[in-house]
Amino acid sequence: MPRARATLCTCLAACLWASPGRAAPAVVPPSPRTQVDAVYPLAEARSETVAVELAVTVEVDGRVGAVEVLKSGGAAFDDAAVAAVRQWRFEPARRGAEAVAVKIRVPFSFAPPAQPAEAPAAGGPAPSASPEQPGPAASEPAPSTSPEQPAPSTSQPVPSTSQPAPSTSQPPGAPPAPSASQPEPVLDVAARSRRPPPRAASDFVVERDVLAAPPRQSAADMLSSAPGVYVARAEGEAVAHEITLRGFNAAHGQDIEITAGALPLNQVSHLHGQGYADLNWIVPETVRSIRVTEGVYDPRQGDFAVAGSIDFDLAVPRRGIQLRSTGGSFATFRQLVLWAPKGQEDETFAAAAVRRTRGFGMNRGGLSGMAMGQFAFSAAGGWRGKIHVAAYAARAGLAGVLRRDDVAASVVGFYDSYGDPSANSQSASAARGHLSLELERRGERGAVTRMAVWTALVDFHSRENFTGYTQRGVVMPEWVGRGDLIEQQNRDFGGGMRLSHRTAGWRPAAWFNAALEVGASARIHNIQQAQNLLQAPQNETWDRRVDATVLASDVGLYGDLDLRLGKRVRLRGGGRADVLHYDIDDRLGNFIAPYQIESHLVGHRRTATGVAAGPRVSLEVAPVPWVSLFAAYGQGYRSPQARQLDEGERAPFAKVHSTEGGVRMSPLGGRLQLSAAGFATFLSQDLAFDPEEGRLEKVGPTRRAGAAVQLVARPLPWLVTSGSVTYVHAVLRAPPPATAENPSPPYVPGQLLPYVPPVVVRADVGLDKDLVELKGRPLGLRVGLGYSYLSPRPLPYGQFADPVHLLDASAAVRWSVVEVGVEAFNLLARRWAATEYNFVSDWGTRPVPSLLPARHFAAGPPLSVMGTLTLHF
Amino acid sequence: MSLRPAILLLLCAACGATGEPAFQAPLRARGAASELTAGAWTVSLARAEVGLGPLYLCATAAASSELCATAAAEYAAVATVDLTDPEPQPLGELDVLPGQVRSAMLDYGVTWLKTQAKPKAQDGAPGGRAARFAGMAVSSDMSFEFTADLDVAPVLRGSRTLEGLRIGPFSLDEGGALDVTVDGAAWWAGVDFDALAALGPGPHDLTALAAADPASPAADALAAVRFAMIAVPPRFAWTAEQ
Repeated sequence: MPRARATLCTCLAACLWASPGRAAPAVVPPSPRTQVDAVYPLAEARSETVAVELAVTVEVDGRVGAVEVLKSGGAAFDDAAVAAVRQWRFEPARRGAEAVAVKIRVPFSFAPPAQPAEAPAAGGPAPSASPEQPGPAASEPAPSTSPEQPAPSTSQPVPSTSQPAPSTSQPPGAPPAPSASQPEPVLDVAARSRRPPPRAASDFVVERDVLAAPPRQSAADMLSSAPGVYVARAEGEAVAHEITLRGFNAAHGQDIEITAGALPLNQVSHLHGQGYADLNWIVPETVRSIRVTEGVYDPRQGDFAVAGSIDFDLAVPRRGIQLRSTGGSFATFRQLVLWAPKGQEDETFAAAAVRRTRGFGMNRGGLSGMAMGQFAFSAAGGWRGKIHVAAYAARAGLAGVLRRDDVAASVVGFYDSYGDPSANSQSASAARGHLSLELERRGERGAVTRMAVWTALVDFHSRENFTGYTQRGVVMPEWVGRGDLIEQQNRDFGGGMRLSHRTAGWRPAAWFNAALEVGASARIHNIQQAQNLLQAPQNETWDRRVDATVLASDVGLYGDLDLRLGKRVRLRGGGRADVLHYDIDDRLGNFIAPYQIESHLVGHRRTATGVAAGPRVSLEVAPVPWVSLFAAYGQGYRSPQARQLDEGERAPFAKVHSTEGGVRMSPLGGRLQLSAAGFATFLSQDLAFDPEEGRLEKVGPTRRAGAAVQLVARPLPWLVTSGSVTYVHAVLRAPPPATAENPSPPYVPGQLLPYVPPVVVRADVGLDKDLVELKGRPLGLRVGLGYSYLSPRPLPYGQFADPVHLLDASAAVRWSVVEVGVEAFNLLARRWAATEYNFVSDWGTRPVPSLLPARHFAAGPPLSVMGTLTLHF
Repeated sequence: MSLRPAILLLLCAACGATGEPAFQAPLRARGAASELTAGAWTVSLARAEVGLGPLYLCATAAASSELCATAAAEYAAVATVDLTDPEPQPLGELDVLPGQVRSAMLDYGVTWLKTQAKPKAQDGAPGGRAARFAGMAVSSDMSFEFTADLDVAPVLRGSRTLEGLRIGPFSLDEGGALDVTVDGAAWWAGVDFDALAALGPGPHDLTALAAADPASPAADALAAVRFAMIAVPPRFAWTAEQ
């Protein structure tokens, strides 16, 4: 089998290598939107025409980045040209639908004043210099290039279909002479694409237009637009969302590496769930795009990249001040203040928001506040940087879960909470503050150096009761029936850094280009965690389950080789290794039960260190410019829960083997984007929610296989549609067998993986159009729809949850600085379960408690309608 | 593009093993004997009723409230069993998860749940007690009648009256039924009927006598029956439904 694969790959590569073509769509150069003429330096006036030639980097947002003088006309003329071009704004260059940064040549021609003696007086109009019009499209398009793999500067020009218009402003009496030169418009496609090129067919970027199409209540909700992703908020306003990604029930983040730039968001050894990632601090209006990589194919993917990884790109393309008020159902109110200073880069902004709600049922009210700021800057030596800071705090009531049979018997309402004190005492709170600094320096031919440091303090506190009254005290076994109100506290103070350097492209032959990136990352966390049982309503502690301090460290190294073989084949891959170290002070370890003879003191301190290493590789073949075929394989890992480690244990990582084959197509000039992929993943140790402990527990190795299709269409400038279907068959391969402690385990080999929907369907439609002119200003309309479908999710003990249909819609009208809109969530008014479980509970709703697992659910929000008023200055 | 592949995908969404869902099976109980010989005494039970349930079958070898937090089958109710009737008496439905069971735990109608401050007889217990008996003891030279209403309750809050009861093992498959056999007469085998005869010609209300004098032979007799209800537990059999 391996031999067959190798033969197939070799033949494919050889066939495509020999034929002409290119590996990706050609680059459409930038076109100027705003041009400012240069001011003729009269003090240096000359009788002849002075030519100045600049190399200008046009960023992905259309702004002017680095400027260098290619051909000098003298200091005064150079300065005048640079000063002018820095005020230009462009439609950014595009490769397919993706904006890319390019370096272009901009010639200026300073014609001598026709009548120098009649030069305008000071303060009068100065003679202007016009930039020359870039030349026509070259007959031979450039080879495919990527942000990390620049095209040769001058040898292979890119065809241009959009030409910067020459300046037409003419100072009176002093018309400048037009230039006759025909420069190549694009010197270098490289500088700063927002996103690296895809590693696989399932390496998606959800752009702002899709993100903004349907209404969103949080940044995490935006993830729903990625194929195979389902996001639910089952534990109220102050707990992280639960995310399902392509057959993985990632819970609060256990299987997904989630980042915001250089800032990692997963929390190591979190008590509530390994890899817990709370995204509630992100103001959704500041999310420019989200990269969702489904699978592990990139050496940069680190801890928790099991199902894949998610990266939030924070920036505000629409500049100015935005004041947005939202109010509606269930006394929900949100106020946003967003300041994106004009003239600054999109990454520079400040935002603050407050949200308050009474909630859609009993004990669901919440209050949260968040503030974030980001400042992008350029520094000496070609460095660009970004400082990011954010703070967030929230507290909310929790209704908890309900038994389906109790709801069916009208013992409790669908949106209610059990009325006893323990149920009514459920709540959660969260707080965080973090700071990060990123630096980047780009060199010639794709060389780039990156550095980042960050620190974060994150606090989590929850009180949840899933099972009612089933627990017996461990410390005091005679204490029973006091309520299973589990209190969890996790306080994490950590910091880390990332470094990487990518070499310039090495091109010993026309058909060969190579670049190597090496990188390192490190993080260290001090984690205080405790878990107790409380007796409501006084919240007296009646049992202690966890009391520990964990010091967790992770040092990772990776190498990533990028090989371009000919014009159609690209092979990327390398390896990654992470050394993880844990120092655990388990203050309840070696616990002495009351019936045991005291032979030691309680407490168990231990250390463990291990290495997780694995390869990642992807092959891209582009038979035609708008089609790319991908094959990818990689090994990822999830770090262990520290408290489960023994002394000297070599950190038993959960390892995933992820493989995928697929195709990406972007015909019609990128207006249509299609991706289709088949995939298979094998995970050595999976986790599933255990309601008795209110946390994730091991369920053994699992296997997934499936396929996903996504289609994004932008048929008109004002219309975007996106749809995806994902199917996955996920099974447990060897769940834990019956034990004395657990004689009736919930899982059997071959069972469908619980909580994972086999089919996920998502559709988004966004319309944003100016309709008519009203008093000289356009009257615009914005309409958005988002629809999600989940097939019945398998549950433990052979049960299935109900399917989910959700439709969200929004509409808004804008004129001048005002936008008025309405948002509706769950427009179909479905009674749906955000999440469902199957376990034993005793809420005292029947004379004799059942010890058989019963279906429990956390209600999803009903139909809710919000009105919005936005002022944008 | 044909819709067939998409439809097939959707239809296959729930394909695959899922662990078998729960089902219900008949629960039947019967008495074993209504007469016994104890020394010189022949005892006939005219009435022998016991509360059966809640009843839990477990996969573990020794079911208990701590080692069987999730049961494999349960009868979460209480029903009265006539121990003088050897014919199967339908008690209701047993809720079953498919799989093998090896132990059981149960109460005789009186529970001490984790949420109960003290033991309590559940609805369905005979006369609000664990068991009620009426009978006649006959020897060569005398006879007397007796009645006894007694409770047998868990000794610890949150536990069951009978725990760690080994059964089977047998596999609970759909189409089967659980038969429970309770030998009520055997519970009286340890009673000192000579001592009871010393109380007089009867009839004797053993419950009242024991309440009046905890050191009386009546109290000893009830203690012996309570002990036997633990020591001679019901027998279980999983039989295929006809």
